[in-house]
Amino acid sequence: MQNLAAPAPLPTPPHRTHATRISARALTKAFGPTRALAGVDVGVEAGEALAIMGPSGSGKSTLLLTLAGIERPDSGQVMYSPAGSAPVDVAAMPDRGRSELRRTDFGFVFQQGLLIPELTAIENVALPLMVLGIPRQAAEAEAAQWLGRMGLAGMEQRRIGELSGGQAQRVAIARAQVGGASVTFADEPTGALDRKTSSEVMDVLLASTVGRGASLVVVTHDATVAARCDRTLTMEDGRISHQFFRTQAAAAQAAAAQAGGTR
Amino acid sequence: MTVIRLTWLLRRATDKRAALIGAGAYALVTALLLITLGGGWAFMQWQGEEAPMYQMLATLALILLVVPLAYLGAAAARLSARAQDRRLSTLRLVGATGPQVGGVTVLGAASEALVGVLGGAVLAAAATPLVGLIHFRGEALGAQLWLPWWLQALVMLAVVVLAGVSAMGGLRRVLVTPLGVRTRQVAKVPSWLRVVVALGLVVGGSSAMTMNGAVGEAFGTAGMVVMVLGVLLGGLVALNAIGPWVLRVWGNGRVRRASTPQALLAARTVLDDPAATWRQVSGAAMAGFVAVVGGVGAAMMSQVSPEATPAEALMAADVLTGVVVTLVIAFVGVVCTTLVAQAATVLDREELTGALETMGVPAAFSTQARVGALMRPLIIVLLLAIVSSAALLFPLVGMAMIMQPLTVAIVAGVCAGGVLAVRGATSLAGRVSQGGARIPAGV
Repeated sequence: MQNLAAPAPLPTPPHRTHATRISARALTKAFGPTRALAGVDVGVEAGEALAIMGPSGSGKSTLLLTLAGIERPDSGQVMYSPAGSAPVDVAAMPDRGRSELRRTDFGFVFQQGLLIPELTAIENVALPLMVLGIPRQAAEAEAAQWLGRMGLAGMEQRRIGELSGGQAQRVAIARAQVGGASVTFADEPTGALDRKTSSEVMDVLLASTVGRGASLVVVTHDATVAARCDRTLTMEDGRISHQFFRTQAAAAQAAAAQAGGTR
Repeated sequence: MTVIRLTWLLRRATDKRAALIGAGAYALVTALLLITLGGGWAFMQWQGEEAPMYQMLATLALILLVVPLAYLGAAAARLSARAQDRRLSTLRLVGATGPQVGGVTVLGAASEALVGVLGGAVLAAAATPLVGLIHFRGEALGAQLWLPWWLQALVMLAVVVLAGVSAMGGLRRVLVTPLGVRTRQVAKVPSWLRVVVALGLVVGGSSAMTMNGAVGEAFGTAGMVVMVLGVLLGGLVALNAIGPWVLRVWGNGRVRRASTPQALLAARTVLDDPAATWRQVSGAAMAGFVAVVGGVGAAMMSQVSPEATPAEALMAADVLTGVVVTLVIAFVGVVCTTLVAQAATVLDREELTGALETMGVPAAFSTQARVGALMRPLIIVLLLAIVSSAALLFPLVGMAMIMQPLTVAIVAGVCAGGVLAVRGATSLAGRVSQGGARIPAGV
């Protein structure tokens, strides 16, 4: 049984520096005759929550896969700029390099959670750290901290099948954050949940990502989820058709940045 | 017509890989059954003074082969049922009636089995000439192996019917709780009572063996043989009773000690459902048990007196041949069961494995965990089976016979070969996956 003392609080997020964490230019991707991406430019700032919406077939999933280094674009560039390190061209990296990047720098939250059913909650959260070579005891200690922050203290030894949908999704969020991911990619994280639970899950997802200065990219059909993000992109036929900002201040800032050429 | 049309529509929506593996499993079961029964049939046609002894040994071999072949059949049925579960629960949820779902279930399972059975018959026909090269009584078995057409048809029909019955057995869950079909229920914990029963059977059987002489005096050779067979059967039952409990104890210890994520997942997989793990390795345990019995038998026969007649010397050599053939068939059954069961596991977890690769977890992790969840339990149950078998035989034949070089060579050779073959099948099963990182369905 892990030490159930109060978990350490999340670090205070730095004042948002508007540093670009991911910058994608002129992305194209086709699957046979279907053009999934037809020239997409998108940037994700440090500490920003970006929602991507659009009908089925609009290319939003392909964009997510490309930004996350799972798919290689046919053309274009995806630059990832980790804090304090030189930018890397994700699209040009070999498979092994992109896999390592996803392991060390990115986090993923899936609609169905996709936790390992045989493992307990704490083991699921500790798994990414153990894969990185961190000893089991230390990994589970860190995992216990994260479960506490998710409001799941006392549930460390529960099997996934013994958790509710919302609790399981919070375990999945903890798993995505335990390694300190600088960018988290979430695919319909609330798609299988009721409205109240969706709101709770979005609370913890935002708090655990942008709340500590990391970035969040969410693909969603749910307008209430998108409304909680700083910026929303709407895709249609492989292109970005609209861009919305949550606040007018953010919109003005983006416009000023574009005019000044600082983006 | 509606049921047939529904079945046809669902066939198109079936996972092609699961269907192919399921049909392949039925083909393997059918081929092994036809070849094994062909051997028994050949022995039963013999006449002569030594014929009854050969026929008794053939019957013993067939009894010992029932378990590995039954597990292979069960693995095929389970794979088929798994592929059907999702389709049928969806059918129920969109308003199909119970009889419609039942009809689709039986038709779907039976048609898949029929394809496999026909393939198995072709496979058996191709393999029989090769198997016919094996010599008994100084001559090749040859055409004696061919079962009469009506018996072949009966065997094939039995496999198809069993497939349908098996599918019906799993149907009740779909009818009652279609939404709950995917719910992972916690496996029943193997009771300590099984340990008591198993130990009782082994101790009792061992004690009975010490009275073999008295039984022989009272009931003759036939009585002795029946008693020995009964004790060995009791030993197999004991093994089956204690196996899941042993794996649970091992799993508990391994979870505590596991320092790598692969070892942790492997141990948790076994602990999650020890009975399911047992089903995958029990065929090997049975084969290990049989290896000791067969090895001792072969060692005894190899010590035939210099004054023995040519027929007795020939029988001694034939017993060794029979032991090897029985063990090979048993392990072929085990390897096929492993292939089918592991392929089913790979397909079942494909989405989860893809998600882990998306997270940057190397593809090898899932494979290593899957292999670890099978191979360590396999070696443990093999050792358990060998010790159990030796414990039962010891009062009858003594340690000297058990430790005869020939006995040890047969046991070691069969076990080593079997373990390597199972390991190979486990790796091969991984190839059914389309693999690769992905974002699972939802976007």
